[in-house]
Amino acid sequence: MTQRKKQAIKLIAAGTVLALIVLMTIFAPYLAPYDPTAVQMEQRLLAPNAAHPLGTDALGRDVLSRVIYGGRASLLLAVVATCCSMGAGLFIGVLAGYCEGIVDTIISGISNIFQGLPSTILMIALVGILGSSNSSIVLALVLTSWVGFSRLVRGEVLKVKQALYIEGMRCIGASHWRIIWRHILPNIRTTLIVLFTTRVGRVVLSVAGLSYLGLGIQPPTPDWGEMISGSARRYFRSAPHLLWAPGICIILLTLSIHLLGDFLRDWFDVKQDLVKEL
Amino acid sequence: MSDILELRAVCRTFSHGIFHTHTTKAVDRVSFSLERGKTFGLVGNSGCGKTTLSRLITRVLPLTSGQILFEGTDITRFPRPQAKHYHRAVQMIFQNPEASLDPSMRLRDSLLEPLSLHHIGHTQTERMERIAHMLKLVGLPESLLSRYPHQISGGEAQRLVICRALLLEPKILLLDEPTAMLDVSVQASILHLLRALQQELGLTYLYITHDIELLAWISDRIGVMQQGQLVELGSREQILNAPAHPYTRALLDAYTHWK
Repeated sequence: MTQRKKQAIKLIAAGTVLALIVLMTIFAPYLAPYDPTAVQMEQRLLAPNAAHPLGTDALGRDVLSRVIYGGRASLLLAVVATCCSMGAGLFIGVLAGYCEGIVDTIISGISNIFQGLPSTILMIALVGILGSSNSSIVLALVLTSWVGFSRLVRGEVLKVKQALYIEGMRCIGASHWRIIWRHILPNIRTTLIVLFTTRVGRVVLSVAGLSYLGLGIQPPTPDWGEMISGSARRYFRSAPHLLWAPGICIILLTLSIHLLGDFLRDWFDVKQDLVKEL
Repeated sequence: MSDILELRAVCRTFSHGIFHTHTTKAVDRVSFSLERGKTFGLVGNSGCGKTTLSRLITRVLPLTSGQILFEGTDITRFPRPQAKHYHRAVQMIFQNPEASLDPSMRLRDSLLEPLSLHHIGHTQTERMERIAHMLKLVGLPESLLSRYPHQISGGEAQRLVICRALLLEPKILLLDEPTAMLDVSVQASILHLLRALQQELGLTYLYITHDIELLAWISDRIGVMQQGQLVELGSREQILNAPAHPYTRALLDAYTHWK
């Protein structure tokens, strides 16, 4: 019972925080008191006050407005990049797991190479070469994270493929496509959902990291990672308020996504057990 | 032409090792035929190639050499439409009924799957009528249809799997130890069901088991397999009363001693 209570608290807390952040980024134009890119040099580095609740940065831009807008780019990038890498990983993983043999050997070899590469460095190198546009960030994120998906999908497909009902479907003459679409994918669905949520959290961190290094989302677009690297890095001794707001936002976002993924995993496990008991 | 399925010197070897240098003959020159409307019992201990043989017949595995003739045509040379026809005419029932049903599908969808695959019945209601009819035949209530596979008993699952196979109006049922995972009381009811269905629908059975006692009850002809080879073949009376091969004798001895 306490276990379930803990689960419920986890879900409610994570869900609320995540929902608030997502709503905040969606309705940013209505919530932000100022234009996040409006430069006012006469009001630079103000401490939090009535007019600017979170103060202003080195260019006199309102920190609160920038924080409200700051999740937009990274959240969108993270979701798009995770969807892309999941799509790629799913395709490649199903191909390897279902075909086995030489196809699997080749794909596994390539995955091993990708997994051996340090992902952050690869990401920095890619964005450095391609220039930091949104598409190159997505490409870098996909290239460094598809392996995680494809390996897991491959394992799951191999497991499900052993099942008797798959052989049964072949006996009645079902095509490979039909078996994959109607019988294998539905049976690895829960794994995919859990994997997706945990990965989105990690990708948000990667985007913030890239922005912090100056390779991610480019100024003047407001972004949490960029806010920390921009004026905060230079002025945080005299104006620590620049650091707190975006830092806390990044922590809250990744933590809530991660907790939600955790909850989903437990929930699917529990649900399966419960259903079996019936 | 009373033989519906004929196996001619069927071989299947598996190669393993890094350079595929080691080979195992899982099925070695097996020949027998299934007489229409009769039951052929195939007996042998585990690992003797019984299940591989059933996979060859269902075309899940390709033959290494030999021929399997279905109504006089070689099944390995079927063009696509005929292959589909064959997959409809030959149905397989596995040992573990629960594992033969997709756990993520409701039983209704599991039953509709083969019908939509083979374009049987034009409307959903027509298909559901067929399913209802077949459920009655195997003795299952329709209320089961909205459940998932893990919510029914082993006996119910095996009846359901038989029902699913029969929906395609097959000519041959391959039964790979269909009762091995069931309670003794349920076993008997499934065997009686199979017998009744055979009489009603004129089905041909290939019954694969390690239990020669069971074959004495259900089969018309018996083949004995040992290490991939068919060591003895004959009518039930021949095999039970005058076994020629020492392995057959050993199987029968084990059974009579136990009794």
